[in-house]
Amino acid sequence: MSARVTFAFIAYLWSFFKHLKVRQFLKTIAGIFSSGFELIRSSRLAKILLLIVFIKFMIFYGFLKGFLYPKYLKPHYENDAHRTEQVLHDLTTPHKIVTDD
Amino acid sequence: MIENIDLALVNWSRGQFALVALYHWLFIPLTLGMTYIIAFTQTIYVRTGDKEWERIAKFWAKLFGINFAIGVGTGIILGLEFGTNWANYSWISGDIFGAPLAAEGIMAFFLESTFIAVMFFGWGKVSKKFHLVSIYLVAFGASLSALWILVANAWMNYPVGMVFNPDTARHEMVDFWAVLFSPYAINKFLHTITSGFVISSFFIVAVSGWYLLKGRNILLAKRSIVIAASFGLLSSVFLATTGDGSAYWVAQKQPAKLAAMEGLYEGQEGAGLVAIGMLRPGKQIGDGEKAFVFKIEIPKLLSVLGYRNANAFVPGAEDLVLGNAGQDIMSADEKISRGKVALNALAEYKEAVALDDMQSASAAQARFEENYYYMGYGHLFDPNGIIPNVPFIFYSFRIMVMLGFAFIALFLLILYLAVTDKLQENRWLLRTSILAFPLAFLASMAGWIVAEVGRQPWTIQGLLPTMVSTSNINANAVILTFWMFAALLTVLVLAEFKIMTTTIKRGPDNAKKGGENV
Repeated sequence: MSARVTFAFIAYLWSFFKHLKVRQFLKTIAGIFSSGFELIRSSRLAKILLLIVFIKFMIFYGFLKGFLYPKYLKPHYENDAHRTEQVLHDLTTPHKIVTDD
Repeated sequence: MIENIDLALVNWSRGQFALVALYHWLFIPLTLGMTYIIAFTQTIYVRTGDKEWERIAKFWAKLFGINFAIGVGTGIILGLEFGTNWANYSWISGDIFGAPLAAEGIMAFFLESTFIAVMFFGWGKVSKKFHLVSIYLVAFGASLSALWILVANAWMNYPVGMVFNPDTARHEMVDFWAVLFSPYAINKFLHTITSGFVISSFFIVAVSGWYLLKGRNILLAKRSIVIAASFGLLSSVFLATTGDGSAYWVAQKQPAKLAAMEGLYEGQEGAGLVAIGMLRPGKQIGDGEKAFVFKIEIPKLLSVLGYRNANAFVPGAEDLVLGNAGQDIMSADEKISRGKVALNALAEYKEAVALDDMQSASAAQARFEENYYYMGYGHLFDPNGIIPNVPFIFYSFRIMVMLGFAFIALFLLILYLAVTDKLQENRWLLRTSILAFPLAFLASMAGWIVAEVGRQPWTIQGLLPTMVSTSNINANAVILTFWMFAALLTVLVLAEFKIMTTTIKRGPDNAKKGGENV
C-alpha cells in the first residue's frame, strides 16, 4: 500500500514539474550562471569588483567576526543568567562619570 | 556602591557608530534609488522596443553594480558593534531590535540578492518581462531591507509594543504590529527612502550633466536626465511631505528634539518657525538671555507643523527642564526623581526575588511599573542633560530643510529645460547639477544628525540613556577599532570613487577615450 502511495506521489511530482517545464527553467538558471562566469572572465571591472568583495568579506567575516571580536572584543558572559545579572547591576547601581582629566 | 562610567568609552563608542553609519550611508542611497530608475528605463525599453533605452538601463545598472559590490556588507560592522560596544543596549532591547534585523536578513536581503543575479546576468538570457520583474524585485527588496532597519531605528525613538521583564532585564515584544506600523516608523521609512531616491536622481543627473558638458553620450544623457529629474522631483516633493509627518511625530514624542531643532528655549503658543537665524553663542537654559542674535520667523508655523493647530503651545527647552505647571509639563528634576524610584524598585525587586520574598517582590514590581516610563531619567545627573546639543541640531536641521526645498526648485528647472531641450545651452545649470550630488548627501547626513544626535541623551527614548548602554570594555579597544574601521571604510570609499569615475569617463560603450557624440 505504502509503495503504491509513494509511487503515486512521485508520479504526481513528476507531472507537476513536467508541467512547470523544469528543464527549461534549469536551462535558464544555467544560462544566467554561465553569463555571470563569462562576464567575470571577460571583464576587468567584474574581476576587480569580485576581488574587492572577496577581500572585504574575508576581513569582515574571517578576521573581524571570526577572530577579533569573539577572541578580544566581545564582552564575555558565562551564560544568560550572568549577563542578566550584569545588566541589572548596571541599571540599578548609582553612577558617577569619570574622565581622563 | 557607586559605579564609574567612563566618558571616553561612551564618546568613542558613539563616535565609532556614527563613523561607520555615515560611511555605510554613502553606499545605501544609490542602492535604494537607482534600481527604480533602472527599472523605469527598462520598462520603456520593454514597451517601446527602442534599444537605446536598454543601453541606458545597462549603463546605470553597471554603475549600480559597482556601488552594490563595494557597499555590500559594510552594515555588518554596525551589527558587530551592537554586540561589542553596546552590549547592555543589545541585551535590554535584543528581543525587539533583533526581530526587524533578522527579518531584514531573511526576507529582504535574500530577495534582493537572488534577483540581482538575474538583473545583472539575465540580459538576453531570460524573457524581457521576467528580467524587468527581477529589476523591480531588486528595487523592492532594497526598500524592504531599509524598512526593517528603519523600523528598528524608529523604535529607539518611539518605543512601543513591548514590556520590560525585570527578571531578565529585557524588553520583550508583545505587539509586533505596533512596532512595525508605529507612525514614527512609517514616517521614518518613507522619509529616509525618498531621501535615497533624491540622492540617486542627483547622481544620474550629475553624471548625465557631465556628459552634456563634455558633449558625449548626448542621447543617453538627455533621456536619463528626463527620467531621473522626474523621479527626483516627485521624490523631493514627497520628501517634504514625509518631513512634515516626521516633524509632527517628533513634536508629539520627542519635544526636546523639536526644541533643539528650533532653538526654542521659552515655549510659546502660536510658535513661529525660524526660517533663518543665528543662535547666540553660550546661551544657557534659564540665563534670561535672548536665544538668537537674529532670526527671521514664519509666524505660527511651528505650532501648525507640530500640533496641527496655529495657536498650540510648543514647549521650549526651559519648559522641559524646569517644568511648566500651566501646560502640565513635568520638570526634569521630577522625572529624575521618579526614574530613581523606578530603579530603586527594580533593585528591591531583584533582592526580594533572591530572598524568595514574593510579597516584597510584588510590591517593588508594582512601584517599578508605576514609574517605568521615567526609568531612563533615573540615570541622569543634570536636568539640563535632557536637551540635546542645540546649535548642532539647529544648524543641521536648517541645512537639511533649505537644501531639500532648493532641490525641488532645481529638479523642476532641470526637468523644464530638459523637456524643452534647452539644457545644453545652460551650462551653469549643468555645473550646478554636478554640485547638487554631494549637496544631496550633505542634506541627508544633516538629517541623520538631527535624528540621532537629536535623540541624545537616549538610546531608547526616555528609557535607556546612552551612557548606560555601552559594554563593560576598555575604551582603548574602541579607539583601536575606530581607527581600524576608519581606514578600512576610507579605502572602500576611495575604491568606489576611483572605479566609478573611471567607468563614467569610459561611458556606456567602455571607450577609453571620447565616446560617441550622438
